[in-house]
Amino acid sequence: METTVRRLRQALVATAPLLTSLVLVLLGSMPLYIGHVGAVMPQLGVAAVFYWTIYRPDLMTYSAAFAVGLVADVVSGAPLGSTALAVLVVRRIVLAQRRYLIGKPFQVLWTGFLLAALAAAAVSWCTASLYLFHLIDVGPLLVRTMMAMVLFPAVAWLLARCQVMLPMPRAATLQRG
Amino acid sequence: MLNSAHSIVGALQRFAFPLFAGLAIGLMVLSRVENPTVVRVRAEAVDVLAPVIDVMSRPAAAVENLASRVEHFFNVYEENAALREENERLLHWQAVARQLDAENRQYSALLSTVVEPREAFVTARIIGMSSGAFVKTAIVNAGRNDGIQLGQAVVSAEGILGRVVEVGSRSARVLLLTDLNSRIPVMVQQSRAPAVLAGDNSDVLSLVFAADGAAIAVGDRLVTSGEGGLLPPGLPVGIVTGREGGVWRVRPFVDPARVEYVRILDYALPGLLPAAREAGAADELW
Repeated sequence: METTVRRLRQALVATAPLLTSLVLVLLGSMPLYIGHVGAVMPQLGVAAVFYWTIYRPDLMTYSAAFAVGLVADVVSGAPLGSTALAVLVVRRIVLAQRRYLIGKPFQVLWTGFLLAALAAAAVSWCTASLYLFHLIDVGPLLVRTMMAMVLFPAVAWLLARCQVMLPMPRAATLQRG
Repeated sequence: MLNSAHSIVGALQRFAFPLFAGLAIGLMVLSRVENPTVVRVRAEAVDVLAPVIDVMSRPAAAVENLASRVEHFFNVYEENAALREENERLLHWQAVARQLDAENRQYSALLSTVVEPREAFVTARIIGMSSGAFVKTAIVNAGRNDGIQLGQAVVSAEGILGRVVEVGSRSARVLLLTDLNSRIPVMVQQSRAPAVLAGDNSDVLSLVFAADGAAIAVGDRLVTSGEGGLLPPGLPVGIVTGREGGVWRVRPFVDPARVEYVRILDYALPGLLPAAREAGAADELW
């Protein structure tokens, strides 16, 4: 009995970053229109992948990030793999810069997120332009990135509440990322 | 044994990025060529997620309703006055419309006009909306089980919103007029000049394939022409707002951001859609 509970708990811990990211992706697709906010709802999945890659890269693996991007594509109707690619790039960049971001004041994290979100937007823009064979307008993408910036503190706060409930990883796993 | 397992995991981790990035690019290519399996899997995946999105969107709708109620509360006097005025004007139009309707029936009977097929409709709720770099689409909570088919027109009270481009068993995806891939046959309501209305992922639409000397002017209302037999004729589409770089720009009547419930019209004349196209070759509709 006890082992079952422990296993369940372990499974929950292992999938918590993935599940919270998926919830944020679905939230981002809600037709919520207070004023015109909803019309430019940002990819909250990018924010979630950014956060978890910094704090729990052992749980937010490339496969988890890929899954988050794929679900975002399915929900948004974008070509399968386009958001997945952007999210993978974000994980790659963040993983390389992790040590400059972890344990730093929130402003540093926020700035880091701006750069990561801009990178994701750039990847999206390139793939969209190639896919559609048409140079798409940069405006809406920039507005979405700004929206993601504005919402990031709220997302980070929520994910931090989840993170403190997870047991600490072994130092070795964190190092390896 | 353990060592070899470790080295395999290590190798996988090292190559995880190129592996998954390659997978993503491969999927994109398959999406681009409209691989039937990818198209079907995507529709089914939306089907699986639809109940979750539906449940999650309800609190969102409640918050939205609350916000609009608060907004209405502050504007109640102005709105009341405006509504009274509008009501008077509409009553006048109702009388005119009744008279014209009666006249129209008489003339149609005199001329033995072929009766247009009556359209049936399904009402559905918009449960998801995407405003990404690629597409402008919405997800509705009705699908094949409810009689939804590819290509059907999706309308709100104000006019046409888009067309159905992907059908699952209980959800469907609507391509909005503003999407880059959206093309619908329209005509100017007054002059009956035909054209094709194209989206470009922005909020305004453009008229393409309009004849050079076509009688189009700023302020003209556009309606669907019904050409091709997929969309019912006469659905309000938008209003011509100006001309930019030799192209007429059109503002759609429907702001998808303001719509919660839509009607999906079953109009398609029998025999117009070949069976192969129904079977999942969505490419022709995109």
